[in-house]
Amino acid sequence: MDRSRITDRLFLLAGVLLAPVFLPPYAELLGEPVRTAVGGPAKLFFLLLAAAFAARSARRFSPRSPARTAWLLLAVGLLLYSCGQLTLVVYQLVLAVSSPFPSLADAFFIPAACVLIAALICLLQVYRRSGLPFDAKRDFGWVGAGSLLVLGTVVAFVLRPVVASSTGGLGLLLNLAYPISDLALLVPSLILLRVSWRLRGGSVAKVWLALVVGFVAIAAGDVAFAYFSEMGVGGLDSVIDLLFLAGYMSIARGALAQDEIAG
Amino acid sequence: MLRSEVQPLIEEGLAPILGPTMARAAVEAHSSRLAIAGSEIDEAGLGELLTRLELGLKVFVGPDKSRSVMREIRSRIDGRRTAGNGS
Repeated sequence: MDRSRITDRLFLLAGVLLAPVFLPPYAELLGEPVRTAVGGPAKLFFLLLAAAFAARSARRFSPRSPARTAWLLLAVGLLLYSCGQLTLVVYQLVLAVSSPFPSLADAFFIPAACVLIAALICLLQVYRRSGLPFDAKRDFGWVGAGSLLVLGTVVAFVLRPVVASSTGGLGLLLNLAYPISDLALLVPSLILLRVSWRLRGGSVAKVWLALVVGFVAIAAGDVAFAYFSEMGVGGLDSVIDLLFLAGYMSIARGALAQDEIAG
Repeated sequence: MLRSEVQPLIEEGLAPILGPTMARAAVEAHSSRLAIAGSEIDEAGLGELLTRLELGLKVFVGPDKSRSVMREIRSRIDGRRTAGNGS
């Protein structure tokens, strides 16, 4: 069995072992302390794994390659995410308090999203400069405009009640900043998905697809968190946690897959 | 060499990385750009085509892997050529 299949099976095993902690009926049986004790470190582990392999992948490209810049930016963005997650773990497991919102963690998550947007734009540049055939209008233009329109509508729909029900302050600002930065992250992600479709059946598509799935899961988690926390709807924390964990796992798998194909 | 002999070998080499659809599209697009899209391909044209493909591959998998993929493709083409001369 080759390295890629072994890694796939390990990730699948990790998913099967971790999912019950977040999903009913086991989530209720195990309770929040178990979810916090398992979920926080698991998320941190996969983020650090993703950052480490993104950095390793960057080193495999020549210094002036746009691909090196893209993977380096991914590594920095994921490292910033790791710092944010580490902050949450310290709140929850060391200080034994519920992580406040807003908190110091947000000072890492928001810049991380900006760096990751830049990384995805760089990855699209990599494809454009590869000399492989592509239709700029259809692959980049139409997909970009279409996803901006659809996602913009969804985000506006979600944010309207958030703004209406909020008392303002930094919490509101962050609850707006997360979905908006996710929207900005999802547009290049969906263009990347379109490009991945053209590369289907190859190992590069597997890398890019894993990254896209990861970013979509994180965005879904952020939008759900913003909506439900401002609307005062509880009981969905475990599902939101699972979305984040799935997102980080998928990005880590993508970074490992890039290392496998370049190695 | 006949394109019908060379092109499948190049596509087979690229397909595990770029996928079969893009592998074929890449060979055809570069051949067209280099004006070597006819039914026969000479040594110089083949060399230029492989160089262009290697440059494209490099941005996805890095220089080491792209070099090794192209080396494998060249060796398959040489093998086919030798087999053709021998028969």
